[in-house]
Amino acid sequence: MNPDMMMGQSGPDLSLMQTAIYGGAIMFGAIVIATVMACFTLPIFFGAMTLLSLGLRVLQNAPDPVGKSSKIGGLVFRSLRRNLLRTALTYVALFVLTWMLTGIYGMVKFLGDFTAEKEDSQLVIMSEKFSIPSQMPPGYANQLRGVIETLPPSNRPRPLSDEERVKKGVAPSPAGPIAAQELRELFGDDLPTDPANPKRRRFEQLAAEGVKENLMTWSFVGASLDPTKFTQENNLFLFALDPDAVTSGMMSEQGLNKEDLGEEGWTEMLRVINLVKEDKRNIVIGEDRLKIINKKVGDEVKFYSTNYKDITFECKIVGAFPAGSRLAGGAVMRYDYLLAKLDDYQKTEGAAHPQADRCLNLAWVRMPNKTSYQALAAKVNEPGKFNAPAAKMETFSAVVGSFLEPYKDIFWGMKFIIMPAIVCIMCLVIGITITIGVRERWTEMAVMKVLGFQPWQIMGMIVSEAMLIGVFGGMLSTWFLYFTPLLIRKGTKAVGLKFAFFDNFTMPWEIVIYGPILGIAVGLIGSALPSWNARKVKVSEVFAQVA
Amino acid sequence: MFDSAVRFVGAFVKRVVGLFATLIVLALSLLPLSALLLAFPALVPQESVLTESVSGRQSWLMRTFRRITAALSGLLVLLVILACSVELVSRLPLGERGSFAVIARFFFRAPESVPGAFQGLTEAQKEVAISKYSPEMQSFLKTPLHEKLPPAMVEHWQFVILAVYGFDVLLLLFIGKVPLTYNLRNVRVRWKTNAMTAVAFAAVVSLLTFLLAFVNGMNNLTENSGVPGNVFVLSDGSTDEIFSNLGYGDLDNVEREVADRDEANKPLKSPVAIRQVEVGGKPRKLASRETYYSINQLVPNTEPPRRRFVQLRTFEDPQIAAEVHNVSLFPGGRWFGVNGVEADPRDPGRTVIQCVLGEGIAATLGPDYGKKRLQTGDTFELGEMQWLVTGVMKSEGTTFGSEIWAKRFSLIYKPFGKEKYTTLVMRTDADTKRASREFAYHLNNRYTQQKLKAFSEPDYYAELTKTNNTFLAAIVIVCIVMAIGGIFGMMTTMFATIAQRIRDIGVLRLLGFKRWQVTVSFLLESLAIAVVGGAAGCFLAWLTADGRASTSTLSGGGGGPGGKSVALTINVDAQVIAMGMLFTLVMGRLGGLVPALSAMRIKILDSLR
Repeated sequence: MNPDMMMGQSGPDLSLMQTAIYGGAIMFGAIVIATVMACFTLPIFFGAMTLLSLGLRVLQNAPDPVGKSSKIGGLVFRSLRRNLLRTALTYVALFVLTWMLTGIYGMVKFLGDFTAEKEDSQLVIMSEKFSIPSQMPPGYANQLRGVIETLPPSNRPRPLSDEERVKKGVAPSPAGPIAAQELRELFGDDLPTDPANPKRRRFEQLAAEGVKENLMTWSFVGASLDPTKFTQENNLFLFALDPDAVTSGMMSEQGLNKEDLGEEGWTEMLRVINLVKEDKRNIVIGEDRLKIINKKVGDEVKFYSTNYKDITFECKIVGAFPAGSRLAGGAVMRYDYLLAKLDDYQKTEGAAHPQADRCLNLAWVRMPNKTSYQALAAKVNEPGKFNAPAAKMETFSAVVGSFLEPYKDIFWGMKFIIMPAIVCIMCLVIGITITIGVRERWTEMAVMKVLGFQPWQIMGMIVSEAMLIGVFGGMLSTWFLYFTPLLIRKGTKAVGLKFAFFDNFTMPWEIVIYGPILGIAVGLIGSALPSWNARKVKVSEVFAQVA
Repeated sequence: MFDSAVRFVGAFVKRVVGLFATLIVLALSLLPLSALLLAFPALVPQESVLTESVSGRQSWLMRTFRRITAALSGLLVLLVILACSVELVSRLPLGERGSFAVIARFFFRAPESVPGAFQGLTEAQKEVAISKYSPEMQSFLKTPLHEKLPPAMVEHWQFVILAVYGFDVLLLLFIGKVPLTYNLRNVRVRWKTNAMTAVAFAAVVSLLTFLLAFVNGMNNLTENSGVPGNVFVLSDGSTDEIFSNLGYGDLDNVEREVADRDEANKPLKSPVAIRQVEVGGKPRKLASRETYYSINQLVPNTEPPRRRFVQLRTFEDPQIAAEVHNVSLFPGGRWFGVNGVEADPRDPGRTVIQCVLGEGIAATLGPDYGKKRLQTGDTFELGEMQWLVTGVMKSEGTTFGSEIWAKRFSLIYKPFGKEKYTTLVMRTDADTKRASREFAYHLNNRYTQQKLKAFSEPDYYAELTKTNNTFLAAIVIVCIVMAIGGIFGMMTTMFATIAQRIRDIGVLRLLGFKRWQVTVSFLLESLAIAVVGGAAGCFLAWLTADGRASTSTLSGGGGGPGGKSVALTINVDAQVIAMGMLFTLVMGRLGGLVPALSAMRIKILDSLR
């Protein structure tokens, strides 16, 4: 979640305009890149056509029907080479349009997959049932722990196995070695119920570890470095949480994981988290935010909370989240420091802070599967539990879906208006090109009919021309879009570079197949009318005009 | 081998230079053609535009004089056309604000905020860098350029550009004979291919018009939602009501405040205070104390279960609120009472919460109960409570259309967890935007009892249009992409047209038409196809989209949970149609110029062989 989204900011909000400008610049850059790529892939297009036509020329000597078909195929390629400019323009138009269509498809698919319910391990969030922002009493965290402990063993969150810890760079468990097989055996419904049973005791030990590793709370603290002014240059948004949440992998969706940070980055993150654990006043701020507030690692800062009025935090910056990462604009502090400050307020003022019983904003739990999440959600929804205020439990994808609900008309428009419109325009572009080509070769077609070509063969040639341009335009565009980021990512990782954009950029694999199919379909539809007209050419009328 | 390599490199460099030259020509194609033609002799002094021919024997001085004169006359014509267009548009009844003025403001912003200037510096560093310049230079750097331009050029720039193109065509026809009839006849003769190109244009323009109409609907929504004389007060540190938290007793003091000085600390001619009205025989300040909620609601009968956010606003006094916000109910409705609850008419044993609905939310909730929209007397569930609709607000075109209004009391604020007010909206006695801005300034800078964030209400809603700007940027980019198809289609059509009519071009040259006249005629031919396609696209968009209801979200605080989900009406008006037609003309010019220039370069003898 973008920290800037979670709390409002006063003063002129540049973030949305900046986002619009950067978004517009990125999109414009994408078009320029697409057009340049199209022009650079023109040699591949023409080269492939040349190779295919050479291959067909070889086959022309073969006995019929292979030889005859090859000769007809050769005529198709010759027609495309007749006017290279027109063929190139059509190819470039199809390339760029396919590129953008694929981009929109990728975005719509990503959102659809992201908001779709999953069956396997999923992150669930407990928040206030009705209102936003969610503000719950801090006791709800312990209450939630208690509820999780009442779930049957198969529905309980599990600790990471040793193999998973090594893969994710997480420290060994205090509960000793944990094998994946042991987890499968213990977290099943056939576990002995006798508390004295060694298996049961081991389960309880691992289950407690599982809850610790898979439960995280967030509290949002808005703050300013200046008590009298709140501007872009002096504000800070902090997530108050338990630092173990980072090492256990609960912050991996926020980009704090070994894969995104790399080996060195993750080691540095662990070092910084250890520093945070040493002193509860130690905080970590994103590099982008450090630049804006003109601070650096090692600085002592005093900031004045805007949502916890009259509370001041004295902190030391012990580390920075990398620039360009998801937390680059935010900051993290210790949750127990926030609670300590609320306690201090009570001692000083003689009354609890107005926000003291509303300081828990979100509670995250990683559940092993959909069934266990549903069991937990049912327990949270039981009357009498979590009712002051009422709380709900939902998956992370469902939460995102709720926020995207107002945009459903826009997404519908993208899926059912923009994408079909682009396909229509592609058909028209090909149609225009083929129509002009057919008109130019009217006499040639009459001659072909005289030579014995059947109407369906002439029609097939026209359609083949269109499908050839379409398949190459669609294929090269989607293959470029899919494989180029993969190759760049592999290349940069091999030499130890981090190319942030391409590390996060992936397209769905099916575009590799959809691209050529789209090209063929567009070629077929676009050339339907002109090829039908070509089929109907009347020899006598054409020669009468020529005469 | 070396010679071949040199020749290859030379040919490659020539092609690259040619490509850049083509791009420059494409950019220039958007300028008025008459101005470019008059400036043409600056590049090619042996070409004549206004005269029949140019004397071959001319001295270097004469040729230089011709070049300078041509350049100046082109510039002069450009300025005259622009001035006439601005004057014409200023006199049209288009309203004060343009829906798409933000695009002009983006391009004509302050020099200090242009990308590249003061790059990589934070705001504080930028201030320090700027302070080193002279005061005049500082003023120049900080003043947005759009403030120096005529308002018509900023607010209604699309009409200005259309007028420029219109004057340009008239001037072209006036400058010299262009074989227009010949070209228009050819449009009719080759109607199939031209129709396909026009259909491509229609597809792109109709989509652009539809999307711009959506943004237009959102702009209208935010504009109509602000009462000029209202002051909108939130707690400091929050741009949106959802994060605001005002206390109780503080608000009495706020309502009693009087602003007696302006922003420059000079005394105001008449101090600004909050209007007072008589309610039940007692004087009351026209100030509405409100609590704004965004309630997460499970959408009934959905699989998988979906949730949505519903806007709820509770008031101390609905009569005061109605007067402050200028909102009334449809006949048959009544405001919620002092208690805020009543017995359910259909089930007297059950207590329901009274509420009034905006038209948009009534239409959103209606399908949950098998109706098109909820009406007075209907009940619905929200937050595990039953609510009774006592009235529907006349709120179309305002953000209140998406809200549920109810009485502020414990049955609502306890389960929804917000006991304190979030918003205070007050009507100034002068009831003008200036007065509300002065009062807001006073509260922000001089009121010391509590830190507040006050806006003139129209300014608050103007902040919310930032979401619109994001959509606008995305829409423009998507349509530019699709325009590529239209442009290439036009190029292909015109290249083929020219190839087929190469003899015609030779004959036209023999008859005495000059190269530029041939170029202009083919360009006008492509524009004619573009105009037909664009007009069809605008008509299609108007037919299908105008008046349609849709939903979106508005946010001034960076989006996310602070956004207001709003119901809006898609509006295809003159502004949107002007944008559509401008877009089609630009596509037509970009697609038609390069082929038209190729027609110009054909040699007479080659074309007749």
